[in-house]
Amino acid sequence: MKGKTKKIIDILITYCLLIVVAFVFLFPCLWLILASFSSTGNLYSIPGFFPESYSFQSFITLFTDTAMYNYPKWLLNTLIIAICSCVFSTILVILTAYVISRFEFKARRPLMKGALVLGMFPSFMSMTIIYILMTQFQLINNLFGLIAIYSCTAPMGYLVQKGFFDTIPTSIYEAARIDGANNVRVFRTITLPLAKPMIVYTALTSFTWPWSDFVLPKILLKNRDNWTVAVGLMSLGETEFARFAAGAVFIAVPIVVLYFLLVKNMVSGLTSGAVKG
Amino acid sequence: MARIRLENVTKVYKGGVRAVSDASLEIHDKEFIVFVGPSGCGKSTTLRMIAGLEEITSGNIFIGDTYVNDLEPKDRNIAMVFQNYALYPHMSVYENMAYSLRCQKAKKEVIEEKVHKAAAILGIENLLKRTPRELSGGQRQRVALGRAIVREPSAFLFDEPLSNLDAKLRVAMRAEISKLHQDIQTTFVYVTHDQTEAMTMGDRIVVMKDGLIQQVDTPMNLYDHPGNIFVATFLGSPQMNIFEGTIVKKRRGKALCLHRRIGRHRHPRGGTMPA
Amino acid sequence: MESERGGRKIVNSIGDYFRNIPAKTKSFFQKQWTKVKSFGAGIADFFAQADWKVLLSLLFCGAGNIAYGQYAKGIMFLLLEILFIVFMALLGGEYLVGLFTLGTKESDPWSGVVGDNSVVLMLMGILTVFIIICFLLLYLSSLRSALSARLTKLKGQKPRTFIEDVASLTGRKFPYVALFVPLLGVMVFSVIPIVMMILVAFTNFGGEIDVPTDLVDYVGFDNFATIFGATNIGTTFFKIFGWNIAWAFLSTFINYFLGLGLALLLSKKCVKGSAFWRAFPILAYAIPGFITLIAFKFMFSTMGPINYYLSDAHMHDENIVDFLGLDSTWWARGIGLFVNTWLTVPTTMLLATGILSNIQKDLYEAADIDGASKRKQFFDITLPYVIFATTPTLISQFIGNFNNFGTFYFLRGGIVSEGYFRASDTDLLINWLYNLSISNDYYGIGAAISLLIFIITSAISLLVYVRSGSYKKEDTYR
Repeated sequence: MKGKTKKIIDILITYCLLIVVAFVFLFPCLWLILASFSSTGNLYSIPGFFPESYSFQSFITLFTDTAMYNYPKWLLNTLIIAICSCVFSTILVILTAYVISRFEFKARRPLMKGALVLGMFPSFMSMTIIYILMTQFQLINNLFGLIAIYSCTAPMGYLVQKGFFDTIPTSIYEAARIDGANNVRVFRTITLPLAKPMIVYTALTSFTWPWSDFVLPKILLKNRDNWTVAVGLMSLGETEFARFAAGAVFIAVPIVVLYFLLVKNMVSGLTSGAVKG
Repeated sequence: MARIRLENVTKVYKGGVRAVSDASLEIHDKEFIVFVGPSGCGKSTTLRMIAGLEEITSGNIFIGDTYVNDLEPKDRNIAMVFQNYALYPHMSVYENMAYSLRCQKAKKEVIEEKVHKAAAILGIENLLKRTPRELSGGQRQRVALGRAIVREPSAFLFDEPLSNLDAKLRVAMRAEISKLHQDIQTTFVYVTHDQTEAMTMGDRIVVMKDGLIQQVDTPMNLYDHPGNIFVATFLGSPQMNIFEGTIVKKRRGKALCLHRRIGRHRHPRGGTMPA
Repeated sequence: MESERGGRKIVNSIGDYFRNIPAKTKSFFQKQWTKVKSFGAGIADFFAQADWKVLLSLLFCGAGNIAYGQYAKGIMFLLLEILFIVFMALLGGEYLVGLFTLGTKESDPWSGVVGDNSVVLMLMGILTVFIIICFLLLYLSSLRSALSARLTKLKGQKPRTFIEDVASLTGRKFPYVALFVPLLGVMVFSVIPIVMMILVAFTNFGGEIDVPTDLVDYVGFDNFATIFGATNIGTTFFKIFGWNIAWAFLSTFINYFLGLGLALLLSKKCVKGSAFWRAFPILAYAIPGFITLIAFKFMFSTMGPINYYLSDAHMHDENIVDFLGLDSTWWARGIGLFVNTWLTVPTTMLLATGILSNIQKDLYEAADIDGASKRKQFFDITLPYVIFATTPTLISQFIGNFNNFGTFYFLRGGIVSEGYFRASDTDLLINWLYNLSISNDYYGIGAAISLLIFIITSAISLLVYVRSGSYKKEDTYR
């Protein structure tokens, strides 16, 4: 009897904790969603956590009142940056990770050590000087500057993809070599098909990054019309709280969905990629 | 003409490890030659140097009459069967076998004909549409063989192909590979650590240890006239008995006086035996 | 008892680390010396094996190749050499000088004289240095190829033709070709900026001195003297540094154990539908960080919902707590910790879950048979394994928290506290860096601080990683 009560208490406590945890994590998100449906925009005018009245007003003004806050333009800017940097980043990272994983060449170890050391510098350092240089060369305010920076610094994060490529047995490449494929053909016909889960992962992560990065766009984009969503939302104050919530919810929903899809895809991708023979 | 000639072939890895030392050998055309020895003796390394997958530190290798040291594997006209099959997991059996022909940009009809011919020899025609994941170990091994046959090479290289199979299958595949050799009449260079395989399959056997070729001869000659103690104890099951002894002079010729047996079991003091 | 031992272990390992320094420096220099010797041996070999045709390449890159029949290759080398010489004569020399002087011509808006732009000159100088390095590599490669052409001729074979060389680009040289574009990108956008920043740390760029109107000068270690000195910048640095370290330890510790605890909670057998419960932290993780940070800022603001309830719908405005205001040092620090935990625990939880699922189940079964209680099993089996497996990530977590820009930027951006130079009492070094550089143009000092951050964080990573169990006891769990 005693053991059973102990067990029941244990289960009760466990579930209580779980509910508390779930509540803590859910709560701010819920608040934002509620606020986005508030009919009044001002933070002060919302009594506590629950708006007085609900409406779609915030969402409508988000897209129509573009005088001060041009949300649709921000969306477009961010979309352009995300798509372009996704394409370039994926190509560069996959190529880099594959080459470093598969080939033994003289510069390999120095390159890997160099990448490690380079990554230890606070990313701020390069951003400041890039800002200064871009100002001198009148390249500020340019979306392509951002795309270039995202894409060109992406290869530094090659370790995850390299780890994946390390799991492909060398004998497959040797067989292809004997079969007469040169390195380009091997990459095209063997590496890329096998690397599908990694390509999806890289593409998704490099696509979602520009949506959440606020530092670089804030530094490099001065013109309100060139802002990304992150910078734009940052500029909204307490009086525009509902609009902020609406704008935030609007981009957060697809990103969250993408993340859940990614988790599912990664799990299935990794198990089917288990190559044996 | 697919003789293979090795002249003083040596392989030294970075850090000074001598994998193969001064190997010289003449492999005859259409011969089934087996490299056998314990782990780390250099047999796989030698095979890979013939294939072109390892750089040769010094020495020469000739396939036919061509000096192949600097040639890429694909230019040496050889085919290789790997221990873990090395099939392309995302391609069907047909595509696996057709891959080398596609690299040569062969015509579709030619590919079809060659693949079906090879599949017929191995009895895997009904598996052409499957992917490697859907095949058993033995079937995968046959596909690997088929991939090699399609290339119509002047020499087949086998790197311990049967090590991953269960015992019964191994015996069956041994017979199949021997039969294959009879049918297609091409040079087979086979590496294994299993001396039974070596003894039953090879025309000649190359025994290696610590990177050095110990002896090259037919199975029966190696069995009856081993050149050194290593070869003597390595081949033959159960293992040959080794005795330490001295040749003494007797009134009528010589005799062999046995002192003690080398090995696990203690034997009561030996006597004298006529030499 | 145990904590005392643990404490002594840490002191010992730090002591060991410093005691090992002489030995490690010695072996490091020995390795470098061996490299120098082998390079010297390579040079000696070269002259021993070269003939006059190869030696021609010393002066004219590619001459040796042409002499041995590799016309296309030789001409290419020669052209590149000529290009380089022309570049250096016309522009390179100037840029190199400019790198050291950072410009000599003052600009004068009154007389319309356009002066030197120190920053651009520095950039050009660095680019020139890179070009010189590239040329040196090219030079060595031309020598090597001339020599190998000779050696192949001696062996009785024809040296490779140009077409064969191009073909090898998809063969042996493939890694270099494939990595060329990524490498170039990283060079331009990561390496050169960082090199420039290191140089800027030694200049007086910033504040009153701004390009292109003024000239920037090298000032040696002045910036560092300011930071460590008794100036307002100096005192600010030490105050922020102290808080930064405390913050990094606290947040990493809390996040790690809370994440681990959550993972353990979710892995309990009595929990049904753990995927459902796990979705909540993942939701928090998936939402872009800046959104939740701004949301928390609003939540705790004086106009926000929490103060609404505290002041009872603004009936009693005197009860409003200024959580993130000018005087709320400890509230702000606490809230910062809480928010940071909220954002990071999902990550550590996912990590711990992955690690926990890798523990062999039979270890627990064996422990059950041995009679160990669940509590003992946790401390003796689970914890050591998890700590072993996650130490590398702990380091990156620590550094990430150390350099956690977003939290305090959003919660308390723009606030300047008393006794601090352009910073608040919750700012981390990286926040201060931002304030100095982007908002207030103190680039020189900012760059110096960046360098210090780098030195601190890299020292910590190296120290912990090398001394950690993961590095030394790699085979324990194999």
